[in-house]
Amino acid sequence: MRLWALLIVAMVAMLPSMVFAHEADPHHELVTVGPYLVEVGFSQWPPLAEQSLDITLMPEGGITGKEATAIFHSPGGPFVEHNGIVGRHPRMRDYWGFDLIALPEAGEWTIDLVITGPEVEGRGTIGPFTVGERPGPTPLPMWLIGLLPLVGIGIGAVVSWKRIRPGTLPEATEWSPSS
Amino acid sequence: MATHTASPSPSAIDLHLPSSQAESVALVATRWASVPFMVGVLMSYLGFSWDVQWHTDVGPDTFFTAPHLMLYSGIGVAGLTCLVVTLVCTAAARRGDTRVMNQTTPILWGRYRAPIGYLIGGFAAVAFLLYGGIFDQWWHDLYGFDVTLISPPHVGLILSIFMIMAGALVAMSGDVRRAVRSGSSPWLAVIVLGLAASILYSFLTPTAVEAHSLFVSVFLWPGIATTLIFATMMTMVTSIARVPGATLVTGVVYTALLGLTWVFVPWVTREYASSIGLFVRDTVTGYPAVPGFLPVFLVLASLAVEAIFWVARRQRWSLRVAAMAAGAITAVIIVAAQPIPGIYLNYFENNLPAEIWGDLAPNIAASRWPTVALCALIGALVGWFGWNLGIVLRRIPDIATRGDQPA
Repeated sequence: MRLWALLIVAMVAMLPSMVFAHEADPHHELVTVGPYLVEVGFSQWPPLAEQSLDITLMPEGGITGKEATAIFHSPGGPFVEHNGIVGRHPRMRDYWGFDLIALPEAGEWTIDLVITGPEVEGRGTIGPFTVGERPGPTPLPMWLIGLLPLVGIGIGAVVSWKRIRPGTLPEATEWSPSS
Repeated sequence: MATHTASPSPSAIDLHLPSSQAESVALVATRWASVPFMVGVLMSYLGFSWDVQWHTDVGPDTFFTAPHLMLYSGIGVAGLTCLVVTLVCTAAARRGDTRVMNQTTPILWGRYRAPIGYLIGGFAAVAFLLYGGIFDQWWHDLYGFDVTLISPPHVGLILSIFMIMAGALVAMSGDVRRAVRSGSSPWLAVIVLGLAASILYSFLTPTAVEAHSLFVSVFLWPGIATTLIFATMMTMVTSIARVPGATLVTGVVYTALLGLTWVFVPWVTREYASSIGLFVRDTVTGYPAVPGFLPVFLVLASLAVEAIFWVARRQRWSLRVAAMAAGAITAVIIVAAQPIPGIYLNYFENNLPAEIWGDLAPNIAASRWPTVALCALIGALVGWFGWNLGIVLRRIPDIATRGDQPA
């Protein structure tokens, strides 16, 4: 009985709460990028460090015939996603977007945008906006829990190695297939 | 049902067979258990590769995606196999079956027994469920969808899968050794051992290469990581099997698995996305994500390792020295033939502006031969390690089994 109870508890624990795709953007702002007015949407507001985030971009008149690049400026310095190229958002294909990215640190952020339309190139900046502190507990104990199986593997390996002492056995230097 | 001990009392694990028949059922069941164990391990590797490709190319996940289903079913099949083997062996041992007792390890104060590889696999499957079912789900609640492979719960999951695969490797090592010692044909067991080793080391590589990149210069790290992994694999398999040709067979099996995942994983990812109305991201190339990390020319190294051990046996060299030479030649072949894993090369060429790639390419070319030389040295040490590791793996049952009857 106890084993079955344990199994049932394990199975129930295994069932996760469903995780859905990001809902409709909770925050929008309008950004002027040269001649283009762009509606920028954030799936989390305020965004938190290390939390997954979608950012969508919709230039006035739609994305057809235009191209966009973006550089993120974090407190620690600039970086790019996907080599700076902004593709269509895979679940909202009428929009440009970054899907399932995480902004790695808290602080003041800006995103530089360059949009090239049929005739002119426009430049503009999203933000500055504030990214909040990463949610959740301090990382070190979490990493230690994650690495726990390594302790078992390490102990098992060291104990086996010491008890077998492979270097002292004949098969260390000879083929001895039947050993 | 766990507490039934007396053999005459009815029990779910009591097979109600005369002693001699029960004996053979337990042993036969344990031999055949390697089939579902390996099916489960293979499914979990394919599911893992598919899941990584899915996150790279498409993105969103609930727990109930097809790649998760494949990964979790694979672990489930492997874990349940370990459970069944444990129950069958325990029942046989309680009846006093000495042959079963001599091949199994007691756990939980002697109440249960199974061959050591199945015990490792069973405990690791439980650890996987705890990390995946509780820790990772909590993590998703905090941080949303996965944006990285290397998170604390994922490290726990990856290590648990690694342990299940290691359990399978120990179990399959036992099968090969038993076949060789009994004088029967070892080739089926050798092929399965080659598959177990190929799955384990292929699974380990992407995480190791990524983690290694944190510590070592960008031009050196892929070679060092693949040397550490695959020089170990080559001499370890040679050492476990002690069958001339087994290492080459492993190289062929590894290449077949690489080819299968190379074709299957990107294809099934695209098909699955379109079947549920999702789109591949504009910015991805669709290059095979997990197979893209793996060395393509390992089969050549396996051939060279066979040749070295063939000469060493004929010339009566110390095989420890042969193992060092085998590790070094493995490193030279895989690193010289493919200095950067395909996935990075593909990324550089497709995603870097021409002027940056133009600066990088000569640097990669210039660092090629110094890297090969360094990896040859590391490979020699690792070859020695893999040879000894093989001895430990084939001998683990010797130290782990105790022939006493369960309580």
